[in-house]
Amino acid sequence: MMASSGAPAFPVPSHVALLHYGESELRDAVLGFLQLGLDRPSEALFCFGEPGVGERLLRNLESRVGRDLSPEYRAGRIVLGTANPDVDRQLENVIAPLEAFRASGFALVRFVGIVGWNAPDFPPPEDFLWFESKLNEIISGFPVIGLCPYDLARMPARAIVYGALETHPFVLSGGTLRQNPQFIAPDRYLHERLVALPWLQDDGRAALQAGGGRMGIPAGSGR
Amino acid sequence: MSQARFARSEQQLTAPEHFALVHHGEEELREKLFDFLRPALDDPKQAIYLCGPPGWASRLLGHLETSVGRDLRSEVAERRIILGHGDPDVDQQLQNLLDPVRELCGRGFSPVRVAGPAAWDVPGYAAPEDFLWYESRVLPGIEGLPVTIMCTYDAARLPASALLYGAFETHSHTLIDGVFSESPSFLSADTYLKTRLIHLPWLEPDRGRAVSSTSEDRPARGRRSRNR
Repeated sequence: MMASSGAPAFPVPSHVALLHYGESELRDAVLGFLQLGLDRPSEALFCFGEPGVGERLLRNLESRVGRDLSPEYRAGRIVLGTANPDVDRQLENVIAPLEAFRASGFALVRFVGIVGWNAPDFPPPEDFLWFESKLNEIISGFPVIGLCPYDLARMPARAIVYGALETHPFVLSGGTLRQNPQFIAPDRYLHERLVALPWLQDDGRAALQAGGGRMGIPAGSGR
Repeated sequence: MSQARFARSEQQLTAPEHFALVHHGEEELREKLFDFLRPALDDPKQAIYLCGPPGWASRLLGHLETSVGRDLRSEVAERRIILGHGDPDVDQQLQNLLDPVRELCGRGFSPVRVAGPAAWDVPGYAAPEDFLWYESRVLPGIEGLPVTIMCTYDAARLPASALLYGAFETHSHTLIDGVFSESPSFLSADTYLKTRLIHLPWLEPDRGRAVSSTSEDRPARGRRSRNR
Protein backbone atom coordinates (compact mmCIF):
# COMPACT_ATOMS: atom_id res chain seq x y z
CA MET A 1 0.00 0.00 0.00
CA MET A 2 2.27 2.72 -1.32
CA ALA A 3 1.46 5.97 -3.14
CA SER A 4 3.48 6.95 -6.20
CA SER A 5 5.49 9.30 -3.95
CA GLY A 6 6.73 6.28 -2.00
CA ALA A 7 4.76 7.34 1.07
CA PRO A 8 2.25 4.85 2.43
CA ALA A 9 -1.18 5.20 0.80
CA PHE A 10 -3.44 5.58 3.82
CA PRO A 11 -7.16 5.01 3.31
CA VAL A 12 -9.40 7.80 4.63
CA PRO A 13 -10.58 7.45 7.29
CA SER A 14 -8.10 5.03 8.79
CA HIS A 15 -6.66 4.09 12.15
CA VAL A 16 -3.09 2.91 11.89
CA ALA A 17 -0.63 1.48 14.44
CA LEU A 18 2.91 2.58 13.73
CA LEU A 19 5.41 0.06 15.12
CA HIS A 20 8.76 1.77 15.61
CA TYR A 21 11.89 1.27 17.63
CA GLY A 22 13.04 4.36 19.52
CA GLU A 23 12.88 8.10 18.89
CA SER A 24 14.81 8.23 15.65
CA GLU A 25 12.43 5.96 13.75
CA LEU A 26 9.48 7.71 15.36
CA ARG A 27 10.64 11.12 14.13
CA ASP A 28 11.30 9.87 10.60
CA ALA A 29 7.87 8.30 10.21
CA VAL A 30 5.73 10.83 12.06
CA LEU A 31 7.33 14.04 10.83
CA GLY A 32 7.21 12.81 7.23
CA PHE A 33 3.52 12.03 7.70
CA LEU A 34 2.80 15.46 9.18
CA GLN A 35 4.91 17.37 6.66
CA LEU A 36 2.87 15.98 3.78
CA GLY A 37 -0.19 17.58 5.37
CA LEU A 38 1.61 20.81 6.08
CA ASP A 39 2.36 21.15 2.38
CA ARG A 40 -1.35 20.91 1.54
CA PRO A 41 -3.41 23.87 2.77
CA SER A 42 -6.62 21.83 2.79
CA GLU A 43 -5.22 19.53 5.47
CA ALA A 44 -4.95 19.99 9.23
CA LEU A 45 -2.58 18.49 11.80
CA PHE A 46 -3.49 17.15 15.22
CA CYS A 47 -0.68 16.17 17.59
CA PHE A 48 -1.74 14.30 20.71
CA GLY A 49 -0.08 12.64 23.68
CA GLU A 50 1.01 13.02 27.28
CA PRO A 51 1.48 16.63 28.48
CA GLY A 52 4.26 18.24 26.45
CA VAL A 53 4.30 15.62 23.70
CA GLY A 54 2.25 17.65 21.23
CA GLU A 55 4.50 20.68 21.78
CA ARG A 56 7.59 18.54 21.26
CA LEU A 57 6.21 17.16 18.01
CA LEU A 58 5.49 20.69 16.81
CA ARG A 59 9.04 21.83 17.62
CA ASN A 60 10.45 18.82 15.80
CA LEU A 61 8.26 19.58 12.81
CA GLU A 62 9.44 23.21 12.81
CA SER A 63 13.04 22.00 12.80
CA ARG A 64 12.32 19.66 9.93
CA VAL A 65 10.63 22.24 7.72
CA GLY A 66 12.92 25.09 8.86
CA ARG A 67 10.26 27.61 9.77
CA ASP A 68 8.05 28.85 12.56
CA LEU A 69 4.63 27.19 12.51
CA SER A 70 2.93 29.45 15.03
CA PRO A 71 0.79 31.10 12.31
CA GLU A 72 -0.71 27.68 11.46
CA TYR A 73 -1.14 26.96 15.16
CA ARG A 74 -2.89 30.28 15.81
CA ALA A 75 -5.12 29.75 12.78
CA GLY A 76 -6.26 26.42 14.18
CA ARG A 77 -4.75 24.38 11.38
CA ILE A 78 -2.41 22.73 13.85
CA VAL A 79 -3.88 21.60 17.17
CA LEU A 80 -2.03 20.15 20.14
CA GLY A 81 -4.09 17.77 22.26
CA THR A 82 -3.37 16.34 25.68
CA ALA A 83 -4.04 12.91 27.13
CA ASN A 84 -5.98 12.52 30.35
CA PRO A 85 -6.00 9.75 32.97
CA ASP A 86 -9.80 9.85 32.74
CA VAL A 87 -10.43 8.03 29.47
CA ASP A 88 -13.78 9.71 28.85
CA ARG A 89 -12.09 13.09 29.04
CA GLN A 90 -9.33 11.84 26.81
CA LEU A 91 -11.87 10.76 24.22
CA GLU A 92 -13.49 14.17 24.44
CA ASN A 93 -10.06 15.77 23.96
CA VAL A 94 -9.92 13.99 20.61
CA ILE A 95 -13.50 14.39 19.43
CA ALA A 96 -13.81 18.13 20.08
CA PRO A 97 -10.86 19.13 17.84
CA LEU A 98 -12.01 16.71 15.12
CA GLU A 99 -15.40 18.40 15.12
CA ALA A 100 -13.75 21.81 14.99
CA PHE A 101 -11.61 20.74 12.02
CA ARG A 102 -14.68 19.47 10.23
CA ALA A 103 -16.56 22.72 10.90
CA SER A 104 -13.60 24.63 9.45
CA GLY A 105 -13.87 22.60 6.25
CA PHE A 106 -10.53 20.81 6.25
CA ALA A 107 -10.49 17.99 3.71
CA LEU A 108 -8.22 15.80 5.81
CA VAL A 109 -6.90 15.69 9.36
CA ARG A 110 -3.59 13.99 10.07
CA PHE A 111 -3.79 12.83 13.66
CA VAL A 112 -0.77 11.55 15.56
CA GLY A 113 -1.43 10.15 19.03
CA ILE A 114 1.76 9.11 20.79
CA VAL A 115 0.92 6.04 22.85
CA GLY A 116 1.66 5.83 26.55
CA TRP A 117 1.35 2.63 28.54
CA ASN A 118 0.97 2.71 32.28
CA ALA A 119 2.08 6.36 32.22
CA PRO A 120 0.94 8.70 35.01
CA ASP A 121 -0.86 11.16 32.74
CA PHE A 122 -2.42 8.49 30.58
CA PRO A 123 -5.47 6.29 31.13
CA PRO A 124 -4.75 2.88 32.70
CA PRO A 125 -3.84 0.29 30.04
CA GLU A 126 -7.24 -1.41 29.94
CA ASP A 127 -9.00 1.95 29.66
CA PHE A 128 -6.59 3.03 26.97
CA LEU A 129 -7.37 -0.16 25.03
CA TRP A 130 -11.07 0.73 25.22
CA PHE A 131 -10.17 4.17 23.89
CA GLU A 132 -8.13 2.71 21.01
CA SER A 133 -10.96 0.41 20.00
CA LYS A 134 -13.54 3.17 20.34
CA LEU A 135 -11.47 5.44 18.10
CA ASN A 136 -12.38 3.20 15.17
CA GLU A 137 -16.01 4.17 15.57
CA ILE A 138 -15.22 7.82 16.21
CA ILE A 139 -12.99 8.43 13.23
CA SER A 140 -15.31 6.63 10.84
CA GLY A 141 -17.30 9.86 10.82
CA PHE A 142 -14.37 12.16 10.04
CA PRO A 143 -11.91 12.61 7.17
CA VAL A 144 -8.97 11.60 9.33
CA ILE A 145 -5.89 9.43 9.24
CA GLY A 146 -5.06 8.44 12.81
CA LEU A 147 -1.49 7.30 13.38
CA CYS A 148 -0.74 5.72 16.77
CA PRO A 149 2.99 5.10 17.34
CA TYR A 150 3.90 2.14 19.58
CA ASP A 151 7.53 2.10 20.65
CA LEU A 152 8.95 -1.42 20.59
CA ALA A 153 11.90 -0.27 22.70
CA ARG A 154 9.67 0.81 25.58
CA MET A 155 6.37 -1.06 25.42
CA PRO A 156 5.66 -4.49 26.86
CA ALA A 157 4.58 -7.14 24.38
CA ARG A 158 1.01 -7.04 25.67
CA ALA A 159 0.67 -3.42 24.53
CA ILE A 160 1.56 -4.54 21.02
CA VAL A 161 -0.74 -7.58 20.96
CA TYR A 162 -3.83 -6.12 22.62
CA GLY A 163 -3.31 -2.50 21.54
CA ALA A 164 -1.40 -2.07 18.30
CA LEU A 165 -2.55 -5.27 16.64
CA GLU A 166 -6.06 -5.87 17.93
CA THR A 167 -7.42 -2.32 17.82
CA HIS A 168 -5.99 -1.06 14.51
CA PRO A 169 -7.20 -2.19 11.06
CA PHE A 170 -3.82 -1.17 9.60
CA VAL A 171 -0.22 -1.53 10.74
CA LEU A 172 2.69 0.55 9.48
CA SER A 173 6.07 -1.07 10.09
CA GLY A 174 9.39 -0.53 8.37
CA GLY A 175 7.72 1.95 5.99
CA THR A 176 5.18 -0.61 4.78
CA LEU A 177 1.46 -0.21 5.41
CA ARG A 178 -0.47 -3.46 5.70
CA GLN A 179 -3.99 -4.52 6.46
CA ASN A 180 -3.98 -6.18 9.83
CA PRO A 181 -5.61 -9.63 10.16
CA GLN A 182 -5.35 -9.45 13.96
CA PHE A 183 -7.72 -6.47 14.14
CA ILE A 184 -10.88 -7.07 16.16
CA ALA A 185 -13.94 -4.94 15.38
CA PRO A 186 -14.88 -2.59 18.25
CA ASP A 187 -18.09 -4.32 19.23
CA ARG A 188 -16.41 -7.70 19.50
CA TYR A 189 -13.34 -6.21 21.15
CA LEU A 190 -15.48 -4.67 23.85
CA HIS A 191 -17.58 -7.74 24.54
CA GLU A 192 -15.07 -10.52 24.08
CA ARG A 193 -11.56 -9.18 24.51
CA LEU A 194 -11.66 -6.19 26.83
CA VAL A 195 -13.58 -7.96 29.55
CA ALA A 196 -11.23 -10.93 29.33
CA LEU A 197 -7.82 -9.27 29.19
CA PRO A 198 -5.49 -11.85 30.72
CA TRP A 199 -3.98 -9.61 33.38
CA LEU A 200 -7.46 -8.63 34.56
CA GLN A 201 -8.29 -12.23 35.31
CA ASP A 202 -5.64 -12.27 38.04
CA ASP A 203 -6.50 -8.85 39.43
CA GLY A 204 -10.23 -8.85 38.91
CA ARG A 205 -11.48 -9.84 42.32
CA ALA A 206 -9.30 -7.34 44.16
CA ALA A 207 -10.13 -4.61 41.70
CA LEU A 208 -13.85 -5.05 42.00
CA GLN A 209 -13.43 -4.29 45.68
CA ALA A 210 -11.00 -1.43 45.21
CA GLY A 211 -12.65 0.31 42.26
CA GLY A 212 -10.51 2.01 39.64
CA GLY A 213 -10.61 2.50 35.87
CA ARG A 214 -13.41 1.96 33.40
CA MET A 215 -12.82 -1.78 33.58
CA GLY A 216 -12.86 -1.67 37.38
CA ILE A 217 -9.12 -2.18 37.67
CA PRO A 218 -6.76 0.07 39.63
CA ALA A 219 -4.46 2.10 37.43
CA GLY A 220 -1.14 0.42 36.86
CA SER A 221 -2.27 -3.17 36.92
CA GLY A 222 -1.54 -3.62 33.24
CA ARG A 223 2.20 -3.34 33.55
CA MET B 1 0.98 -33.69 2.33
CA SER B 2 0.46 -34.13 6.07
CA GLN B 3 -2.34 -32.52 8.05
CA ALA B 4 -2.12 -31.64 11.72
CA ARG B 5 -5.38 -31.05 13.49
CA PHE B 6 -5.88 -29.61 16.97
CA ALA B 7 -7.59 -31.40 19.86
CA ARG B 8 -10.19 -28.85 20.84
CA SER B 9 -10.34 -26.24 18.13
CA GLU B 10 -11.28 -26.55 14.51
CA GLN B 11 -7.79 -25.65 13.28
CA GLN B 12 -6.11 -27.96 10.83
CA LEU B 13 -2.63 -27.19 9.54
CA THR B 14 -0.80 -28.43 6.49
CA ALA B 15 2.82 -29.44 7.14
CA PRO B 16 5.44 -28.15 6.88
CA GLU B 17 4.32 -25.30 9.09
CA HIS B 18 6.15 -22.97 11.47
CA PHE B 19 3.80 -20.77 13.45
CA ALA B 20 3.95 -18.56 16.53
CA LEU B 21 1.57 -19.02 19.40
CA VAL B 22 1.22 -15.69 21.19
CA HIS B 23 -0.12 -16.41 24.66
CA HIS B 24 -0.38 -14.73 28.02
CA GLY B 25 1.18 -16.67 30.88
CA GLU B 26 1.53 -20.34 31.81
CA GLU B 27 -2.13 -21.25 32.03
CA GLU B 28 -2.83 -20.34 28.43
CA LEU B 29 0.43 -22.03 27.40
CA ARG B 30 -0.67 -25.29 29.02
CA GLU B 31 -4.07 -25.10 27.38
CA LYS B 32 -2.72 -24.39 23.88
CA LEU B 33 0.07 -26.92 24.24
CA PHE B 34 -2.51 -29.58 25.02
CA ASP B 35 -4.67 -28.47 22.10
CA PHE B 36 -1.76 -28.78 19.71
CA LEU B 37 -0.04 -31.93 21.01
CA ARG B 38 -2.89 -34.13 22.23
CA PRO B 39 -3.75 -35.55 18.77
CA ALA B 40 -0.18 -36.87 18.52
CA LEU B 41 -0.57 -38.73 21.81
CA ASP B 42 -3.71 -40.41 20.53
CA ASP B 43 -2.15 -41.46 17.22
CA PRO B 44 0.88 -43.81 17.26
CA LYS B 45 1.83 -42.63 13.76
CA GLN B 46 2.61 -39.16 15.09
CA ALA B 47 5.58 -37.98 17.16
CA ILE B 48 6.52 -35.02 19.32
CA TYR B 49 9.72 -33.05 19.81
CA LEU B 50 9.88 -30.60 22.73
CA CYS B 51 12.66 -28.04 23.05
CA GLY B 52 13.66 -24.67 24.53
CA PRO B 53 16.23 -23.36 26.99
CA PRO B 54 17.70 -26.01 29.31
CA GLY B 55 14.98 -27.61 31.42
CA TRP B 56 12.10 -26.36 29.31
CA ALA B 57 11.41 -29.58 27.41
CA SER B 58 10.87 -31.45 30.70
CA ARG B 59 8.66 -28.63 31.89
CA LEU B 60 6.55 -28.78 28.73
CA LEU B 61 6.31 -32.57 29.12
CA GLY B 62 5.12 -32.04 32.68
CA HIS B 63 2.41 -29.65 31.44
CA LEU B 64 1.35 -32.23 28.91
CA GLU B 65 1.29 -35.06 31.46
CA THR B 66 -0.84 -32.93 33.76
CA SER B 67 -3.27 -32.15 30.94
CA VAL B 68 -3.68 -35.73 29.77
CA GLY B 69 -3.56 -37.15 33.28
CA ARG B 70 -0.98 -39.84 32.64
CA ASP B 71 2.73 -40.55 32.66
CA LEU B 72 4.39 -40.21 29.26
CA ARG B 73 7.70 -41.89 30.17
CA SER B 74 7.07 -44.86 27.87
CA GLU B 75 6.64 -42.56 24.85
CA VAL B 76 9.87 -40.81 25.83
CA ALA B 77 11.65 -44.15 26.25
CA GLU B 78 10.64 -45.32 22.79
CA ARG B 79 11.58 -41.89 21.39
CA ARG B 80 8.11 -41.12 20.08
CA ILE B 81 8.49 -38.07 22.29
CA ILE B 82 11.97 -36.55 22.21
CA LEU B 83 13.13 -33.94 24.69
CA GLY B 84 15.66 -31.55 23.20
CA HIS B 85 17.26 -28.31 24.26
CA GLY B 86 18.60 -25.06 22.88
CA ASP B 87 22.22 -24.00 22.93
CA PRO B 88 24.11 -20.71 23.31
CA ASP B 89 25.69 -21.58 19.96
CA VAL B 90 22.83 -20.98 17.57
CA ASP B 91 24.20 -23.22 14.82
CA GLN B 92 24.20 -26.04 17.34
CA GLN B 93 20.70 -25.04 18.42
CA LEU B 94 19.43 -25.37 14.86
CA GLN B 95 21.11 -28.75 14.59
CA ASN B 96 19.53 -29.77 17.92
CA LEU B 97 16.16 -29.14 16.30
CA LEU B 98 16.70 -30.56 12.83
CA ASP B 99 18.52 -33.80 13.72
CA PRO B 100 15.79 -35.31 15.92
CA VAL B 101 13.02 -34.00 13.69
CA ARG B 102 14.63 -35.68 10.66
CA GLU B 103 15.14 -38.83 12.69
CA LEU B 104 11.42 -38.94 13.54
CA CYS B 105 10.43 -38.29 9.94
CA GLY B 106 12.87 -40.98 8.82
CA ARG B 107 11.17 -43.46 11.16
CA GLY B 108 7.90 -42.76 9.38
CA PHE B 109 6.12 -40.52 11.88
CA SER B 110 3.79 -38.01 10.28
CA PRO B 111 3.15 -35.35 11.25
CA VAL B 112 5.92 -34.61 13.71
CA ARG B 113 4.78 -31.92 16.10
CA VAL B 114 7.33 -29.59 17.67
CA ALA B 115 6.77 -27.14 20.51
CA GLY B 116 9.24 -24.81 22.19
CA PRO B 117 9.19 -21.44 23.89
CA ALA B 118 10.90 -18.33 22.59
CA ALA B 119 13.47 -17.12 25.11
CA TRP B 120 14.93 -13.62 24.98
CA ASP B 121 18.15 -12.53 26.60
CA VAL B 122 18.25 -15.63 28.78
CA PRO B 123 21.66 -16.71 30.18
CA GLY B 124 22.86 -19.95 28.59
CA TYR B 125 20.70 -19.42 25.52
CA ALA B 126 21.25 -17.84 22.12
CA ALA B 127 21.47 -14.02 22.11
CA PRO B 128 18.31 -12.33 20.75
CA GLU B 129 19.80 -11.53 17.33
CA ASP B 130 21.13 -15.08 17.06
CA PHE B 131 17.81 -16.48 18.17
CA LEU B 132 16.10 -14.46 15.42
CA TRP B 133 18.50 -15.90 12.85
CA TYR B 134 17.60 -19.37 14.13
CA GLU B 135 13.87 -18.63 13.88
CA SER B 136 14.26 -17.43 10.30
CA ARG B 137 16.10 -20.65 9.34
CA VAL B 138 13.55 -23.07 10.78
CA LEU B 139 11.10 -23.11 7.88
CA PRO B 140 13.76 -23.73 5.20
CA GLY B 141 15.15 -26.48 7.46
CA ILE B 142 11.88 -28.44 7.45
CA GLU B 143 11.01 -27.90 3.80
CA GLY B 144 9.39 -31.00 2.37
CA LEU B 145 9.04 -32.67 5.77
CA PRO B 146 5.76 -33.53 7.54
CA VAL B 147 6.64 -31.26 10.46
CA THR B 148 4.55 -28.66 12.27
CA ILE B 149 6.37 -26.37 14.67
CA MET B 150 4.69 -24.20 17.28
CA CYS B 151 6.96 -21.56 18.85
CA THR B 152 5.39 -20.09 21.94
CA TYR B 153 5.76 -16.36 22.69
CA ASP B 154 4.61 -15.21 26.10
CA ALA B 155 3.19 -11.67 25.85
CA ALA B 156 3.29 -11.42 29.64
CA ARG B 157 7.07 -11.84 29.79
CA LEU B 158 8.70 -10.94 26.49
CA PRO B 159 9.58 -7.45 25.27
CA ALA B 160 7.67 -6.01 22.34
CA SER B 161 10.62 -6.31 20.00
CA ALA B 162 10.69 -10.11 20.50
CA LEU B 163 7.12 -10.19 19.36
CA LEU B 164 7.54 -8.12 16.20
CA TYR B 165 10.96 -9.27 15.04
CA GLY B 166 10.44 -12.84 16.22
CA ALA B 167 6.82 -13.97 16.34
CA PHE B 168 5.49 -11.89 13.47
CA GLU B 169 8.43 -11.56 11.10
CA THR B 170 9.89 -15.08 11.26
CA HIS B 171 6.66 -17.10 11.29
CA SER B 172 4.31 -17.37 8.35
CA HIS B 173 1.32 -17.72 10.67
CA THR B 174 0.30 -16.74 14.17
CA LEU B 175 -2.15 -18.21 16.64
CA ILE B 176 -3.56 -15.54 18.94
CA ASP B 177 -6.55 -16.02 21.21
CA GLY B 178 -7.54 -19.11 19.23
CA VAL B 179 -7.38 -17.38 15.86
CA PHE B 180 -4.92 -18.79 13.35
CA SER B 181 -3.99 -16.24 10.71
CA GLU B 182 -1.32 -15.38 8.20
CA SER B 183 1.27 -12.98 9.49
CA PRO B 184 1.37 -10.01 7.11
CA SER B 185 4.77 -9.07 8.50
CA PHE B 186 6.36 -12.43 7.68
CA LEU B 187 9.68 -12.21 5.84
CA SER B 188 11.19 -15.16 4.02
CA ALA B 189 14.51 -16.40 5.39
CA ASP B 190 16.57 -14.69 2.70
CA THR B 191 14.71 -11.41 2.98
CA TYR B 192 14.91 -11.56 6.74
CA LEU B 193 18.66 -12.01 6.61
CA LYS B 194 19.24 -9.27 4.05
CA THR B 195 16.79 -6.63 5.21
CA ARG B 196 16.04 -7.22 8.87
CA LEU B 197 18.73 -9.15 10.69
CA ILE B 198 21.56 -6.84 9.74
CA HIS B 199 19.44 -3.81 10.64
CA LEU B 200 18.01 -4.79 14.00
CA PRO B 201 17.49 -1.45 15.74
CA TRP B 202 19.38 -2.28 18.91
CA LEU B 203 22.43 -3.24 16.87
CA GLU B 204 22.59 0.16 15.20
CA PRO B 205 24.66 2.56 17.30
CA ASP B 206 22.67 5.73 16.56
CA ARG B 207 19.21 4.28 17.00
CA GLY B 208 17.03 4.77 20.01
CA ARG B 209 19.56 6.58 22.15
CA ALA B 210 17.13 9.40 22.97
CA VAL B 211 14.80 6.89 24.52
CA SER B 212 14.95 6.42 28.24
CA SER B 213 16.92 3.43 29.41
CA THR B 214 15.17 0.10 29.02
CA SER B 215 16.06 -3.51 29.49
CA GLU B 216 16.72 -3.72 25.77
CA ASP B 217 19.10 -0.78 25.79
CA ARG B 218 22.11 -3.00 25.80
CA PRO B 219 25.00 -3.84 23.53
CA ALA B 220 24.64 -6.75 21.15
CA ARG B 221 26.24 -9.93 22.41
CA GLY B 222 25.23 -12.32 19.65
CA ARG B 223 27.73 -14.00 17.38
CA ARG B 224 25.80 -12.91 14.28
CA SER B 225 26.11 -9.26 15.26
CA ARG B 226 29.76 -9.56 16.14
CA ASN B 227 30.45 -11.10 12.75
CA ARG B 228 28.75 -8.37 10.77
